Amino acid sequence: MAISRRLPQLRENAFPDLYRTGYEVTSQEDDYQNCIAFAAGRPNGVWTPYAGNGYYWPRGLPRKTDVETFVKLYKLEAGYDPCDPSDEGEYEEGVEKVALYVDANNEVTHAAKQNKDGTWTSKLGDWEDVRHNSLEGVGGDAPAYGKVAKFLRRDQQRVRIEEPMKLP
Amino acid sequence: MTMSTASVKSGWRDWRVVDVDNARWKSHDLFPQAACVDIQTIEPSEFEEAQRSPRTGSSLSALQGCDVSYLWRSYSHEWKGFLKHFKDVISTDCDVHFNNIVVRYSGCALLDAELSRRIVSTLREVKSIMEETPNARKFRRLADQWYNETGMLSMIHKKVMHPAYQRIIGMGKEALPFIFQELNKKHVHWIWALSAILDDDVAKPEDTLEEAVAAWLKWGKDNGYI
Repeated sequence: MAISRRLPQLRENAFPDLYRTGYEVTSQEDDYQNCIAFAAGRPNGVWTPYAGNGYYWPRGLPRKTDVETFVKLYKLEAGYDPCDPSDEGEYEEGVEKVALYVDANNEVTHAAKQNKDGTWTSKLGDWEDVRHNSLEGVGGDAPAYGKVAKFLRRDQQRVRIEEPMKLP
Repeated sequence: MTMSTASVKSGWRDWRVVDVDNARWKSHDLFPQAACVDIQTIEPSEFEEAQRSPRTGSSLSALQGCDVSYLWRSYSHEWKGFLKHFKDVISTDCDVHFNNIVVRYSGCALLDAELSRRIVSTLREVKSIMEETPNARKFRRLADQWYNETGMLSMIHKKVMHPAYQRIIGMGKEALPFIFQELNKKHVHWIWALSAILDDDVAKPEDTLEEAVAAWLKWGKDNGYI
């Protein structure tokens, strides 16, 4: 089935700046993956600090939703490092970047990954993936994802996709 | 009642009517009380020609881009709103009536096969919702609210603390058949509610989400919920 290039209206309404700043739908919806795993390059999995069996969170990592914890998560699971504070998410050849969003309580709400053309791709919760021109597109007041609080980076050459760790 | 293809009037070309059986669904099975539920399908080349026509082009383009099942979900139980919007999208070439449980769709709308299938699928969903028990209706209303208001969230603890999800947990074991129906449709975050209602977890701590869902589906089958 062909993928519609635009979200259904109700979903688009959740992100008031998305249409204005430009986007297109790039996948069908999928409950088996969330944006946190998606931005880390994992083909499936729902990474979330508070949940029951079936959901993934690394052993030993605090079950918290602050930025510092998610910086550690991306370092541990995917080799990302925090960007310099002056970095505003510009595209750099040979570098993969992830943007972490926080809400008004400074809790992480979302992660978007940068594409090679400088645009960004977000998995919208259980909904579709979208390629958006601007980080502002999925930001804003809830239920949108708030604002970008941190950029992460890793060299493309170091990318190695592995399955999430399993407990012994 | 028999299905009458004669009621389909294109009036401006010899549109070929494809037998609905060939599309592997029967519209007259859907609403046996209806005098006719006719879906006319055309070849892609004919559809493209119709799109170029000033008479039907704009309405066909609008129709092609419309996700009818989503349209239904948006209106949930608001029949009048749904039918009005449906009719607006279909254009004046189509006639849609709502009378008790009979939804009659007939007229000279020219639809491609995929869109026809989606419309029939939506009307089937409408009918099944009309026949729901009070508990099923309550579950559907709460689940639709939950899907619409938390589908964009990635943090599971925020999803499951939504009031609609909590009210479904509050339904207790009455909710189990409906929860397993949803789980079977790959809406996986119901495993949290299952654990809460049953005060148990058949998934193991080391399970992936796929494994956890499979374990719950097996439990549902073994215990007669699926």
